[in-house]
This record gives sequence, C-alpha cells and structure tokens, in this order.
Amino acid sequence: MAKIEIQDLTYIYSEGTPAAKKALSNINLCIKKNEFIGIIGRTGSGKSTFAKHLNALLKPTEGKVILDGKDIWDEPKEIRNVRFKVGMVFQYPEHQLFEETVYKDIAFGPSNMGLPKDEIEKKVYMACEFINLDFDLLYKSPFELSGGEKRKVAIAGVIAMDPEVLILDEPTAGFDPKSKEQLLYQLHCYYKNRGKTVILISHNMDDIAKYSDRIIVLDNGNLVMLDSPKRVFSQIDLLKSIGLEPPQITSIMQALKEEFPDLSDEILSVDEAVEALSNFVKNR
Amino acid sequence: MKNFIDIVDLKFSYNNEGNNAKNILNGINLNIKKGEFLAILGANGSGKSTLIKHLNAMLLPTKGNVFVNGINTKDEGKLYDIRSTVGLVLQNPDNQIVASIVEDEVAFGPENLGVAPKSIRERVDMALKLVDMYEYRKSTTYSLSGGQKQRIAIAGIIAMQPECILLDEPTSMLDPEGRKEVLDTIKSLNKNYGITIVLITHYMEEAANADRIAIINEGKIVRIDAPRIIFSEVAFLDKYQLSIPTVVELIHKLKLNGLPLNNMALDERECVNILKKYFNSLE
Repeated sequence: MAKIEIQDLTYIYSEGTPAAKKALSNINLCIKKNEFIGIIGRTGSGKSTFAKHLNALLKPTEGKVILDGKDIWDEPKEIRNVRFKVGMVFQYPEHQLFEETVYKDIAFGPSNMGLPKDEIEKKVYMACEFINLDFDLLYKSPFELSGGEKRKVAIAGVIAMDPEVLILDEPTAGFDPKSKEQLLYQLHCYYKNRGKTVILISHNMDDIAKYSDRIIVLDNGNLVMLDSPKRVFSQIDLLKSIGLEPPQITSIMQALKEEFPDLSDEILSVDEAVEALSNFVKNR
Repeated sequence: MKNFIDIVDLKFSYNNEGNNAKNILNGINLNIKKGEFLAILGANGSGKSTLIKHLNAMLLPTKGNVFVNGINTKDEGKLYDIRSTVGLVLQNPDNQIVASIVEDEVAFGPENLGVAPKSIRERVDMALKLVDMYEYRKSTTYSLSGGQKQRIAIAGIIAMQPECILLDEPTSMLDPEGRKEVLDTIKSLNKNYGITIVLITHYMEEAANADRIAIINEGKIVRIDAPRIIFSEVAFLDKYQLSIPTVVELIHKLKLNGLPLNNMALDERECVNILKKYFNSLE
C-alpha cells in the first residue's frame, strides 16, 4: 500500500487576491512505505510548497493528501497526529531553536507527544547518537554552538519524534563535505534499517543520485518526472530545459559516449564510471 | 606582485575577558596579492568566516594585525577606506537585500558612500551589466531567482568599486543554474576586471578555479598552494574533512586501476579530453 498518495493536488498562493499564484498544478503521485525519495527542481519550482502539504502545513486548494489510506484533512482535529507521523526539517533549521538548553530543545517534540519522562529521555539520547552530537553539548544553550552543531540539534529534535516519514529541505547546505556525507549516511540508515520513508529536497544532484530510490522532478509547479535516478538523469535535454543537470560524473560519461558509443552513459557514481571505463579499455 | 592584504600573527577570540576563552583564530599569517583569486577551504567551525570578516574590519584582531593596502584595520579613522576597498557577499541573498527594486538595491552602497547622483547612475548601470542583470534593473528584487538575487548582491558591492570582493559561501543556497551564474560572474570579475577574490566554499569544483587554495583547520592555515597540487594529495584532504573534485577522483581511481594517465584534470572539459586522448591512443 502507498504510504502517501497525492491526488490531483493544486495549490494557489493568496487565492482570490490579485497576487494569486499557482504554485502546484494537478499533481498525482504515490510514495511507498520504506522508500527514499529525492525532490529536485530549480528555485521556485514548488519543492518546498509540495513538501509542506505532506505534513499538513499547507491545505490543498484542490485535491487530496492521503496518508496510510486516510485523507489527512478528513478530521481536522487529528491533524496533530499527521505532524507526529510526518516530521519536517526546514531550510535553516537552526532558526527554529528556542529553548534554554540543547536537551530541552530536542525534548520539545516528544514532550508534546505526551510521552512519559523516561521515554523522552531515551528518545533524546537516541536522537543525539543518531546525529552524532556530543552528549556534553546537551546542557549548553543552543545559541553557544557552531552553525553546523545548531543544525544537528534541530534535526535531532525532529528525529526524537521518531517520525514514520522524514522530510528534509536542503539539510546539508553549508556543511563541509565530511559532515554532509555523515548526515546523508545517517538518513540512509534511518530508511534502510528502520523501515522509514525519507524525502530529501536538494540542489546537489550527486547526493540525490547516490541515495534516492526514486526522484520527483518539479518544474513551475508541475510534476515532470517520477522515476529512478538512472532514468531521470539520462534525460539530459529535458533536465537542461528546466534548469537542472545530471551529476558531473554522468555528464562526463555522456560526453565520452558521443565519441565512443560503446560506453554506457547510465552511470551515477565515480566507482561505476571507473569500472565501466576500465572494462572499456580491456576490451579494446 | 605587491601584497595587497597582509595578515600577521592574527589571533581572535570572541571573549577576551577571562583567560580560558578559546581562540577561534590561532596565529594566521597570510598574504593576498592584488588581482589574485584565493579560495578558502575548511571544516565547519574551522574559522573561515571569522578570518574573512577581518579583511574588511567587520572584526578586529584580538592579537596581531591585518593590513589592507598598507592600512591597519585597527585604524578607526580609515574604516571608510577599508570598507570601500573590500566588499563582502554573504551566503543567503535574502538576508542582504534591502530594497524592493533592483536598481535601488545596487545604488544603496554608493549612495551611502556619498557618491554624486550622476555618477551613481553610471556605477549602477555598469555594475548591473557586469553581472549580466541590466535588463532586470526595473524588476522587483523578490521576484528574482536565488542566482539572480546573489548576482544583484554582488552588483551592489561592485557599484562601490572595491578592489577586492570577499564571498562567504555565496552559492550554497542556489540551484545548479544559479551556482553556475554566480561562479561565472566571480571568474569574470577576477579575470577581466582584475578584482581580487577571496571565496569561502564547500564545493571543491568551485575552489578548483582559484589561483591558490588555503586550507584552514582549528584557526590555523595548514596549507596554501595551487589547486593542482592540493587536489593531488587525497589523504591530506581527507584528514581535514575535505573531499576532492569528482574529476580528480575519477582520474585518481583510474590510475590506481592501472590506466597510464599522467595529467591531472581540474574541470570536466579537461577530464573528458584526457580520457578521449588516451582512448584514441589505444587504436
């Protein structure tokens, strides 16, 4: 069964005013349980607007968002439960920090879920471990931390609620390469080992290609593609026409294929490319 | 070339009362030449942003000195000269744009410098042409894409006619198109107009365009060298939480696999050419 089903979703900002703008038009798609989904599209294509519908921060102008077989807007009083199930990490999550200590900040979500105290404590420590945050920092003020650490705290706060679906909007912008790899690897584990659904919005095509099962491609509020990374990134002309490009390694292989048609261009990582090119040389 | 910026034994701590305050910068010595393109790499929290804020006197050294065109940044009377020589562009364009119309935004800097109105007009037009945004001069700033906003922020700095532009992760919030637009603008300002560039980035592909790369770790410069040399030392980069550009990684791994590739590639075009040349030699 689909975890999330989107039916005929249209969203219009400032409807009924002269500034009305259609941000999403008639989107239909399904996201499976235990799937890693990437969302790509140029600035203003509707990625964040789409994501905000998944945890009921925006209400569709038309159409439905169905979670576990139920329209999330059927019972508006139950909307809190949707937000516990679908956790969202926004762009610049560090702006959401507000508590006196890191511990309280991470505990905020689970406390609101009405969990007993020892359960909350367990969740806080698990979230810290997950995000690789030093326990010593728990009793500091979040405002004493570095930018990267603040962001980790904000992500830990969402992880502590143990959401079934975890959505992250550009979580690694401004991370150094190693911190970025660590976070992405943790997200991969959250999906792989714990059976969760992860939805990652990113401008980094290499990361999207490496981690996603399927990729949602948006342009100007329309769903352009929903397919595997190999299929999506082989559509080079289509991608270019909507301001996107494949990972660099894919575009190198595509350039080589022009002169050497035997080479495969459906390649998404350096290791795959090394293998393909080494074999190519052997067979020559 | 004469040194344009001289950093001498720079130490900085945010809290200079109390003796246990940790130094963010821990003895930096660095010379930046006029017209140079310098990239700064380093892990989160290594001190990159703190360092470049010293170059236009946004921060003053706790110990040591910073000289811009021979002027000590501690010289309060010369603050104006320093700020008009060295401009700063930040990560998020939304945080630095103040006006609602593009040309008003670009005029904001020169207006504050007290430039004559006629001359402001000329500077704004020139700056917008330089970043290729002239046709948008009457547009509203909020309707622009991320890359366009960031180019407007750069135009606002150019209109002050600085000799040097500091950029602190100017592309990290941008989509691939926007990133390319901004990087092309930076390269053109450096190559065609001789503006000194100091770029902080986490994208190794961007750093590969610089004349030199400085690697900073725990408030010290651990290495400064040409990209071609730095990116050939994979183990070294790994130690400082950095990575290598995809093209460098590809050639490196092919060599380990026994392919006799002697040259190093720094960008996609070079990489494709090296491989094509090798494959054709196999005929």
